[in-house]
Amino acid sequence: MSAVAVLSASQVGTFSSCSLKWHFRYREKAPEERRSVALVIGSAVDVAIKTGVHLLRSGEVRVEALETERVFQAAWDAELASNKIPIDWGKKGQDGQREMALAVTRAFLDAEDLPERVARIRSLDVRFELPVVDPVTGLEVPGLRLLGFLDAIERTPEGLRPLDYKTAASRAGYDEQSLSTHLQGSLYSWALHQLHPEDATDEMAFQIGLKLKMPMLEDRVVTLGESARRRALLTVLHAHRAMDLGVAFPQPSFLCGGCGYQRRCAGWQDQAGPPLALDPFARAVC
Amino acid sequence: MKVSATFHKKVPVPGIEYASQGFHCTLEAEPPPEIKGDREKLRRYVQSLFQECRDRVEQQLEQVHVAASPHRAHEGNGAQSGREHFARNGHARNGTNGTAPAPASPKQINYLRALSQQVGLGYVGLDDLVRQRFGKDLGSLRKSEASRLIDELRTESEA
Repeated sequence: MSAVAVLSASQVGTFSSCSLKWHFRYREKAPEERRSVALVIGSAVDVAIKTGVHLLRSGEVRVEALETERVFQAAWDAELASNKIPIDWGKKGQDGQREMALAVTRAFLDAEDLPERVARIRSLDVRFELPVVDPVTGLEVPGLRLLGFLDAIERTPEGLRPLDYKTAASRAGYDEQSLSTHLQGSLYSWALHQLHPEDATDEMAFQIGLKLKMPMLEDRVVTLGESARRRALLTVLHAHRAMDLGVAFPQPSFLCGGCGYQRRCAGWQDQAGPPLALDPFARAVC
Repeated sequence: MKVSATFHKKVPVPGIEYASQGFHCTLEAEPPPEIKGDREKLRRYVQSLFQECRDRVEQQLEQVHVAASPHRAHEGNGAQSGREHFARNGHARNGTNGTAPAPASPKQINYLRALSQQVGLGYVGLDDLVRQRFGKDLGSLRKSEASRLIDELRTESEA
């Protein structure tokens, strides 16, 4: 039986970008040495947006009376209060980063078409935990479940689609080609098809708060059909297999700068465990 | 037939960086003969065992909040045998560090609102439920109270 029983979409994403980071975070459960400011901003903005959306949906506040800065400040304060890891505030410093986070929140909550955006939302923070189906055999993989949270489910005239709120420093990774095989998006689309087989469409929406000089909100809607979902599920299965085998090695990339395990990674070669166990099911390839 | 229900919850250790404590309750019981053949009765029986586990863990957590000194406790009566475990580990902590109960985070409040929609309670229904259960409004909930309510609503939404 596999040692990894429940995988989240973000775990698979982490493993895909760096198996060693996954190993530190999810297997060793090692505390991060420092926290990237991008995560702090992302988390605070996410909470502020959802608070704003709930206030509007509940009728507690009308759109013209929504106090964006107040909503943001509560989310920001809570984020900092709950954080116990040193934050790398970067060149902008804490105040500069707060300003940026507030500006990005404004891009979402002060958008002219906010009422239409809110009206499309059917539900927020939808948790799923589903048995993983092998797309090749069509059978459930024994003992493996995929866990995740959809930021929101939107209803459009065509049916339902997942919506994910993002913050990003640039548009890299949000072009049409990158999104056409977006791992997290494809897994969310698959989950929605499992949860609502009748109404789910192949669309996935992203609302991206761009942390540019002039922060702005941009929309992306991508079609993630059967092929993208199959690719994502196969990625999960292969990642799961590698995790089980203990595959973990440094994968240097532009992400290393924001990684919370830089020191641990630098000394990995001195701490690495025994050689990998042989995979008894592997076929020899010559 | 033997039914075993387990509830486990991990919370930060007050005052200790990067430490968490786990509270674990397992109840094992022999279902009465009259419900063994009735699927619906059995489902409710299992649910009640699970609820009992959860309540005992939450009760224990409340005591820890007040005393800020975790301790071990035992449960058990009649045909049921219960055990609660207390364990420490080296996981990152992410909660409070004093004896004063921490207020619910905006993330918890948002999730409660989202769950209230998913279970068909609605925003007003959630406010009423919180007032009825805790005698306060949603924004005044403590972290542990919000956490308990989240567990309950999530169980309902997944039922």
